Amino acid sequence: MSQTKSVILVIEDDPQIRRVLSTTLEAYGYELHCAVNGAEGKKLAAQHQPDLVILDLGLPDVDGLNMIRDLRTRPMQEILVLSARGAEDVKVRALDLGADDYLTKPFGVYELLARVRVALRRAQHTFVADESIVINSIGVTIDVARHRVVRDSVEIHLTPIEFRLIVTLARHGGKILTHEHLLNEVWGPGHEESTQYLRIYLGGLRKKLEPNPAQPRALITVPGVGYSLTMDSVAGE
Amino acid sequence: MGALSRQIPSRWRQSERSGEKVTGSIRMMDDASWQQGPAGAPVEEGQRPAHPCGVEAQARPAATPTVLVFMREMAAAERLVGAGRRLADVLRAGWIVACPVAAVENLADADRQRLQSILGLAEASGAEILTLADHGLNERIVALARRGDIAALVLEQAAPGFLTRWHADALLRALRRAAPQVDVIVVSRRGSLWTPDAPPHVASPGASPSRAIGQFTLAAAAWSVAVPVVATLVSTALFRRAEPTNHLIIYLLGILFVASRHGFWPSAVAAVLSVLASDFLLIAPYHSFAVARSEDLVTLAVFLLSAILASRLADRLRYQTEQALQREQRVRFLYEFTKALADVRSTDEVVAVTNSHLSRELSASCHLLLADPDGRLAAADASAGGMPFNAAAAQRAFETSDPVGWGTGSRPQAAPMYLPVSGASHRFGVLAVGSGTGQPVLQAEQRRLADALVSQVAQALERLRLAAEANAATAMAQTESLRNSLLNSIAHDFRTPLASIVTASSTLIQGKGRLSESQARELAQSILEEGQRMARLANNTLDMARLEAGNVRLRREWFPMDEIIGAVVTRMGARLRDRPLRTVLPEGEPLAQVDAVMVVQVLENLVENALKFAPEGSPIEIGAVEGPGDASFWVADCGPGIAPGEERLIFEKFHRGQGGETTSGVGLGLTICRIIVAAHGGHIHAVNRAAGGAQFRFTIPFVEPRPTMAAEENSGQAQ
Repeated sequence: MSQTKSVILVIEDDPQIRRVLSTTLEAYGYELHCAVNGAEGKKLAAQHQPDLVILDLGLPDVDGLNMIRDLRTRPMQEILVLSARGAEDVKVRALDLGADDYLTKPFGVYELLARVRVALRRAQHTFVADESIVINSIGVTIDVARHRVVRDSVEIHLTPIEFRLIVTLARHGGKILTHEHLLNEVWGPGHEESTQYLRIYLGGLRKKLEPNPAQPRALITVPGVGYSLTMDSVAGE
Repeated sequence: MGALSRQIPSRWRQSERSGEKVTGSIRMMDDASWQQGPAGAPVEEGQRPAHPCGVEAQARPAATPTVLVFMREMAAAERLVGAGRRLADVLRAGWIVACPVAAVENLADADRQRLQSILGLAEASGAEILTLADHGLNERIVALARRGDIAALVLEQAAPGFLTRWHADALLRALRRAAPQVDVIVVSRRGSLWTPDAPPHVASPGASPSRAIGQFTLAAAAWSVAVPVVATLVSTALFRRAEPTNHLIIYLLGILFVASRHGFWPSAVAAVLSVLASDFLLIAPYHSFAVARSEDLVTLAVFLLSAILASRLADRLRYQTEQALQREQRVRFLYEFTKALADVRSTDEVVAVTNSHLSRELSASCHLLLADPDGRLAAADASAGGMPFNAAAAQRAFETSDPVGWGTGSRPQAAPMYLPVSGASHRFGVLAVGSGTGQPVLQAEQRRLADALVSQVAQALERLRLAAEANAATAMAQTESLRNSLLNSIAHDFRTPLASIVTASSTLIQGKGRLSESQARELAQSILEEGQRMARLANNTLDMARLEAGNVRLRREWFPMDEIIGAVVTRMGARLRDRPLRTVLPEGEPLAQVDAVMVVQVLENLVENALKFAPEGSPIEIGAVEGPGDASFWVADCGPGIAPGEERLIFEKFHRGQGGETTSGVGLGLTICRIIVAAHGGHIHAVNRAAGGAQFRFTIPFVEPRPTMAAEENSGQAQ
């Protein structure tokens, strides 16, 4: 935890969920501001410059997706979206518009805190090109500058695309990346329809990096949405 | 009166001034007033009142006055009907057109059609048509006139000739005696039989018994000559020079034959020729038309008379036989048609049956046009039979429930004819009857048949409509009851975890200080678990509603099976933590063509089910295998297995497996699985494993050829 308190803005119209969120997050030492609707949310966002915005997509006064677009004007601000279950399309659009992560209601405190931590770390970190990335969950270290991947001190050969894929996922540390986002960033513009490739390469990566590809620990599929890379090893509650 | 005369078209009104009635007396009508508009002439659209007295007349009580039109001959038919109608209008009375059978029978085809169109028009404007037997016509008319409600009698001036005049005078005398209160109006018979500008009418072939047979066709002429010749040869051969009566019997036989085959006039000619031939050849002095014996002259005269009378009778008999035959045919057809309609199951079938049966029977192209719910007739199939489609006329027939078009009261010259098809409470559409030539196709009897058929069609449609309504009501009731039982189950299943949550949380609040750390944690844990249970329940209920509503679109794509299984394992994460989990996947790149979100949900539900029924800590297995043309997934547990006979039932709504009383949750999870798998065109089943426990397995076929997904090294990349 950093020396200065991280500032979190919760924009949520349901009083019970607001209460639970504020109680929990304050108990864990964050500076918290709550808004009950979109208009107040925008005002508070400008006023307090939060590091993280937790945004409910079903606000009464504004369309949640438009709200993301507005909040995105500050680049360093992380957005964690709260959404209902089953609306995969909405999740994808929210992520493509610039939301960094989402949580499906109902969610546990453990899950919430984990996401908040990851998001805040992302907010404070910028990726440096020659940095080496450590993926603790599967014991993999990536040396970005020298294009080397080592798992449990054994070097693993990755194809150029596989390498770009794992680096892209790692750079967004833990964030869910939509298919479109990944294709765009790894293959370049014009390959947005080729989700088949993406699946093949991701399957290849799993086989090379995961101890048991059918029970993945790091390379996580979010059905209907995209992929994410879990950096930390799973800790018990 | 003012309002009424405004309703009456000008050509009818024109004759009002001269059409005055004189109570209790006989008044000759000025013929000039009738020249303007014969009854059979078309009445322009919009000018004709919708029903000057038609509907009203039928609704009138019996005591209202009635105008009786007696159509003894056809000579002045239009004027008679016109006068009757006008008089009925003026008197606001009903009207009856009485017409002797003989008058109809003795007409040529064209005239018969003309007459029938006049009668049809009269009927359309509210007249009752009364057909009278030929005998005792005067007596019938007098009897009718004595009926209390007859206010006026309209008849035509008697034809020239002593007998007819005597008959007419007798009628008038009898009327004055028996029903002095009836006004008698005599219409002049000046003018030709039919107006010269009347359009030519062409009979459609086979549409009605051919009265042309009563006329001279070439064949009839040949027969009428040949028969006397043959009779002469035969009788000379048989009898030589016997008594003339012997010969005449042979002639009579021939004459009757001609009469029965070709009608009256040919046989009359044959009779005259027979008399001449027998006189010339068989009666002394031979080879001369002179007659030696006076008794021979009498014999010849009597023979001629009786031959002609017999001809007439034979002709009448022939006609009646034909009519009876035709009536029988129609009745049979009506029966067959009704039977065919009784079997139909859809309106499309009604249309097909109607079109084919009616077109055949009426020898005209018939098309049933059904209205859409907005009351618009579908024009699409109207012109299918090459029939001109008059949308306005059809729509009008539909909306007014009155026939429109050929031979009807409205737009009688407009082809084709549109008969409204209406049931007791619903208008269904119209039957279009027409021919490519734009000629009238139905004669009066056929019109009546058509009306009967149309009412059958309407009944069939009504029956289908009621059945559909009943079905909808039943379905609605079933949906209602299903919804109610669903609501019941859900409410019940929500109540149980809610009770634990409320109890546990209130204990936590109240018992502060008295609860140990572990006790408090226990309570909080129970709140968490019960809350999660409720969340799953709510999700299942929502999924069920979404799936049942049928608006779920599958997004099938090719997925590596390990990705799907991996996603399930990731999502179930925490709940699988204390279970040994085994994932079984074949080597290589097994694929499934599925909607991944949905299939992951199926697997989650199956794992959830295993968690619910198998004892804690027992292992769970998730596996997948690619078959030829399909993909199979399974979830197996080490629980108690499935009770025998329940293998199918467990996929039904609200069914709980054994132990259901203690295990919570509406039995929706497996039903959702079944629906999703079925949506993929696959099937799901449950079996007990030999080693114990249950295995749920579902198979989903590929719908496209399987792509080769060998990872192309370095291909498809940007650089």
